[in-house]
This record gives sequence, C-alpha cells and structure tokens, in this order.
Amino acid sequence: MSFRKLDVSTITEEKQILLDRITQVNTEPGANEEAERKFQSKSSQVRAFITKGNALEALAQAISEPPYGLKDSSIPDKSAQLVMDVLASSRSQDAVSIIGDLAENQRVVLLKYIYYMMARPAYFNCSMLLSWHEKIVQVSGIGSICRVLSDRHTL
Amino acid sequence: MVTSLDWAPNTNRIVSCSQDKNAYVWTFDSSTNKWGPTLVHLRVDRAAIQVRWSPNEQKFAVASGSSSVAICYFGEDNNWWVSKHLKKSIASSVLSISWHPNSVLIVCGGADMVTRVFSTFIKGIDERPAPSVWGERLPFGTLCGEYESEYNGWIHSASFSPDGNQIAFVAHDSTLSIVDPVNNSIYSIQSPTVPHYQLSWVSPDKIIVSGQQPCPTACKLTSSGWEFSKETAKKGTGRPTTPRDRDSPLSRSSAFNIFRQMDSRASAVFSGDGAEEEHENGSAIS
Repeated sequence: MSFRKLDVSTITEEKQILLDRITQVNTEPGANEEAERKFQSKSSQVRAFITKGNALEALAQAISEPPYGLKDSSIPDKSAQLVMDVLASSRSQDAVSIIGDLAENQRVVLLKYIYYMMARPAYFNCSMLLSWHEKIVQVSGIGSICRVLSDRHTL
Repeated sequence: MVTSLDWAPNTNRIVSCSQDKNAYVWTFDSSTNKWGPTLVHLRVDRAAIQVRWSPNEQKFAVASGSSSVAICYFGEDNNWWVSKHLKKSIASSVLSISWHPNSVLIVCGGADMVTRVFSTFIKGIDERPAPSVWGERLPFGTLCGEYESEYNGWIHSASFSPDGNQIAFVAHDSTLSIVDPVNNSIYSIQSPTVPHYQLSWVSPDKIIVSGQQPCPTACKLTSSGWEFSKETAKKGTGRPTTPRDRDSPLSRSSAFNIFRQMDSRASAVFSGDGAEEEHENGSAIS
C-alpha cells in the first residue's frame, strides 16, 4: 500500500476498540436515574456531616462514587455543587490537613471536580477552587494532575 | 530515522530498526574491520519503535507502530531472518518491549494503555520452557496476561523482574505498577511528579525509574509494600558531582541559553547541564 494513499483517520476494528476504551461513556439504560438515586442518598449524608462540622467525612462522602461518563450533565452539576458546598463550609486553614487525610485516589477525584467547576466559572467561585488546587499540589505533587489528565473516567 | 539499537554481547551482533519499517542485523567482519548490515524484512506497515535481542541472542523482537510486535529469528533453510507477528488484542502502537530471562516470554506495553505478556516460542529455535507462573504450555502468540494502568495512562516502559516472575511498568499517569501473576494483583504506586519514561530492575526488591527528572529515582519493596525511596529522589545524590555542573559561566550565561534549552529539551525548568544529567539517566538504568 502506498503511504500517500493511506488514510490514517479511518476507523478500523482495532481503533474502535481503542476509542471505546478512551471515551468511557456510560450508555446503560437508566444510568441517569441510578446516578440520581445515588446522589440523593449521598447528598443527605454530606449535609449531615457538614452540620456536624466534620469536613473530612463530608468531603470523602461527596466525592465518593463520581457520576462518570453520563450524557446528561445535570447529575455532575449537582455533585459538583455538593463538593463546592463542602469546600465552602470548611475553614481554609484546615484544607491542607483535610487533603492530607484523603487517599491519593480521592485527591484525584477531588481534582477532577475542581477542574469541572473551573470550567464553569459562572457558577462556581474560582478563586477558592484555585487555593484548594494549590493545596492539593502542595500535598501530593503534580503527579495528581498527570493522573487527572490521563484518566478517561471523566465527569 | 533510526529509532533503536541493541547489541548482543555473546554473538557480537548489533540490530537496528528505524522509521522506514526495516531492521538490520550488523555483523562484524574482523578481516576488513567493518560492520556489515543484513536487511530484515519485518513486514510491518508503520515505523519500528524499539528492538531488543532475546537473552539467548537467537531472536529479537521489534515493537512497531502497526499495533504489533515482530519476533525475528534466523531461518537456516532460507538463509534469511524470518519475522512472525504478535498481534492479539493489541490496539495501538507498541512503545516498549522486554524479554523474560527464558527468552520465550516477552512483555510489551503501548499506547493502548495495556501491558501484555506473550509467548514467542518458536519450534526448532527454542527449547521448551519450564512451566512458570505465566503458564505451562506456551505456543507462539499465547497471551499470558493483560494489565491496565490504573489511570489509563499509556505505557512508556515495561520489564520483567530478574527472576521473571513479576513485571513492572511505568505509565503516563505517573504511576509505577508491579504485577504479580500468582495472585493476579497489580500494586500501583503513585509518583508525586511527572511521568517516568524508563524503568529497570536492579534486584528483586528494587526498581530504578527515570524520566523528566534530572535524577533517577529508586523504588524499594519494604515491609509496607513498594514505595519510592526518598534519598535518590533528591537531586545530586547518588552521582558524582562534576565541576562543569552548575556554576560554569556557560550554563548561567544568559537567558538565551535558558530558552534555547527549554526549546530543545522541552523542559520548563533550567536544570544546569541538562545533557550530562540526561545521559546520567540513560546510563544509570540501561
């Protein structure tokens, strides 16, 4: 085959496998309703932890089971708002210790939420997000950013 | 462009591969004191990326951009290097290959974010390998294991442990993973820095990784699992300091040099004598 005639953009079978693997869209019927139900139960627990002043538990709960790959953005939006509420309710001088108590995979999820919110500056307070972002990098290094960038499980 | 070279010390042969989809085996002629090439037709339709001799030097493997690994051996009947392909379930370019000590198994990792272990058993060339943790009967092309990186990073480098019973790989998600096929576990260590590009086992409980940092980092097996060692992560330890390093007038001469280095090495931080340090990386782990 002449390389000049080779169309590198054609979708071959193996490319389709790769594409499926990197897009990670949740196409199951009822995925949205399932996520909605999970969000509701999560949300009430998080509010309870916020009222008790337990910011670490509230944050850990808020970033658990992230709604990945949904076509509809309403659940990710609501989840992000929930994470935002937790961040806003905790004192900024506690941020480093809270982040330090999270596991690395939790920090990666938190970063995903922060980037998701930063992409929507009309709805979220970006200056606060920026200071949390700074503290995450302070705790776990830029490796976490690399992991968020390469991870195909996106909000 | 030549993409990779490997030397077989016992048979004194060099194999090279390049983006023109070919490989050459170079043999030394002592009467003329020159190296002469033999063309190996790999039958791949994209660039060859990496080439490695098997430990017994009877075969070599070529990773390629055509989602396959070519296993080449010398066919005595035809007086010609024969190429057979490993293709099973590989979905993108193979970036790194490494041999098992038994010269039959090979591990390859690539841009499809999966590390795979294959058998390259070739009748008449290889002796039947002893049963191992990777399987008992291993005809050519057997897929012995598939392991994904934790955060979907593509695989920069993968390698068998010295005893061949484990593999380690580094991926673009800044993780180093150690696979134990016996209990099918992947132990993943998250690096605090940018991704590592190469790794090398120095002993069964120690791995050296290198990448964009000016200095290689060690990863050790401790009682609490694998972890990055703090000592070598620091710059300047574990290697001889050279007077040429930091304070030479050349290295701090001007902003021009800084930007030229950023341009040529794609490095954001001016790190003194970059060339020397990078060479240190390569030599430390090869």
